[in-house]
Amino acid sequence: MVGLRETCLRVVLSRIALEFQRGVRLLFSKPAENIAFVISAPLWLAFFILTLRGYGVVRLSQTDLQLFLWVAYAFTLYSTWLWGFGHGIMDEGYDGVLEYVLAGGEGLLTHFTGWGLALITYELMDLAVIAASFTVLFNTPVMFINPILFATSILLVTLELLFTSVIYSMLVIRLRSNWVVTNIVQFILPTLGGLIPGEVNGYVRLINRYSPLAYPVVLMRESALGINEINIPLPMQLLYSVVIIIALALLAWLTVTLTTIRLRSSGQLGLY
Amino acid sequence: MRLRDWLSLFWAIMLNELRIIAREPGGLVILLLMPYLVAGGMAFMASFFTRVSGIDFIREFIGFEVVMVSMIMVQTGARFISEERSGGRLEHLIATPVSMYIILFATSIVMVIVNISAYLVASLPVIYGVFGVIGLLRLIPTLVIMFIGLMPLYGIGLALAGVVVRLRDVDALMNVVTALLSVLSGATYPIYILPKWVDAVVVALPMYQMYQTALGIVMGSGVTGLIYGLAASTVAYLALGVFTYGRVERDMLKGGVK
Repeated sequence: MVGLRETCLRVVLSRIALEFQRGVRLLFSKPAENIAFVISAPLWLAFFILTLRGYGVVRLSQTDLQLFLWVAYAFTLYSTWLWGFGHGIMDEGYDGVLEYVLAGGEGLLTHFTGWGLALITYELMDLAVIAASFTVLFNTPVMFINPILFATSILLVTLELLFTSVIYSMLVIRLRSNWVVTNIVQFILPTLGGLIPGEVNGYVRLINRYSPLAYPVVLMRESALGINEINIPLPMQLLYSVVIIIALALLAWLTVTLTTIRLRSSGQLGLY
Repeated sequence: MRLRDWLSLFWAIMLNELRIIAREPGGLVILLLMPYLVAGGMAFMASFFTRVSGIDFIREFIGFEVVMVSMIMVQTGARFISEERSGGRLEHLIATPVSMYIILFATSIVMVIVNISAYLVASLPVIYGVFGVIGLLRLIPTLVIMFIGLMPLYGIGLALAGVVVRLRDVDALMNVVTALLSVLSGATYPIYILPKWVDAVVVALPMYQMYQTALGIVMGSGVTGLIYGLAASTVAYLALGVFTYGRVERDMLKGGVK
């Protein structure tokens, strides 16, 4: 029994590893896009900082800048994951990849998990580019007060976004439209997901304290800046984060299973 | 071909383009919501540092509207060429007796109409909320300014189309162009904070001219000399686009679509 379980686990892990490998190759198959990202990220950052100036914000303190950096990074993470999955699933539908995945008996969840994990490479690139842009634009070195907790929080954020994006992809399949859904979701989800620091407003602190989606992102900011933003002990925040990730994983599994059954029974293996 | 035939052809291309856009009504909703989401989001952020007044919001809202419709317009020509090439239709289009300029102009006019309509519908509640009925009356002439202002941006897009046909990765180029032009728009921040040479570049671009002229009208402070700059930009950038695209089309006619 134990041997069988280990064999099954090995098969699943090797499939995820294969999908991961495929995802990484796909991401780096267009070097121009990666270069464009490196160039455009600081430009967007400059645009939004200049816009704050347009609203009359004349001075930003060092703490404000550090907080703004993590806001920018969290927003980039949400956009990268949502756009990556939203566009990706539509492209796979058009290219017929999904049809092969579904017809070949491969689980959609395995497919998405491996592909999503490949996005970690993008996540780290995002972090490097945004941190470098801040250092250059504002002459502000990026703080990492608790590196181990920071690395843990990045892992938690990744898992949270992975399962959220899988659920979101099922929504895209259902509505057959990626960018409309993404445009709306990428504004709503970050607000509930801890994007805005609690330091700026009491109401935001309440959202971050009671929204289950917020803990991993808040933890990321807290570990980098060495603060406790929502007045909950860090071990409890870690525990809450793990619980919400398990809940999201179960929800992702459920939505993927139901979508797969629907697509197979209606004969829409390639979405169309 | 008689004038009536030209007009009927023009109308047919426009209708076709309109049908393509109407296939995704959610996209039109986003056009209306986006300025609220972005201008509102930034106002929310700014409100933690300073007091944001209704006038500040109007200024930024119109600024974001200008940036949004400008970016769409800049991408229109280049994306059309790129999509037609990817779909294998560009060669057929070039080979038909109908001039590509007619096709490009008809499709762009549809996009201009959609953009201006979105600007009008999205701005109505905000302008009415701050200025009342007089604000709505002032909004009317700004539609003309927007129409004129989108023409040079289409010209820039046509010039970009020349680069696009030589590239495989259009998205990458467009990402950089969009980010760069958004920063250089001068529509969401005071440009005096920029270095002098960047300031000069911003003033020479149509987004700033369009924004300042439209804002002056909405605020009731009248138009400035920038309206002449906008007229000059319309001629200059459209000429640049037509000239650049003309060269590219000649190359394609000689060597085929690569």
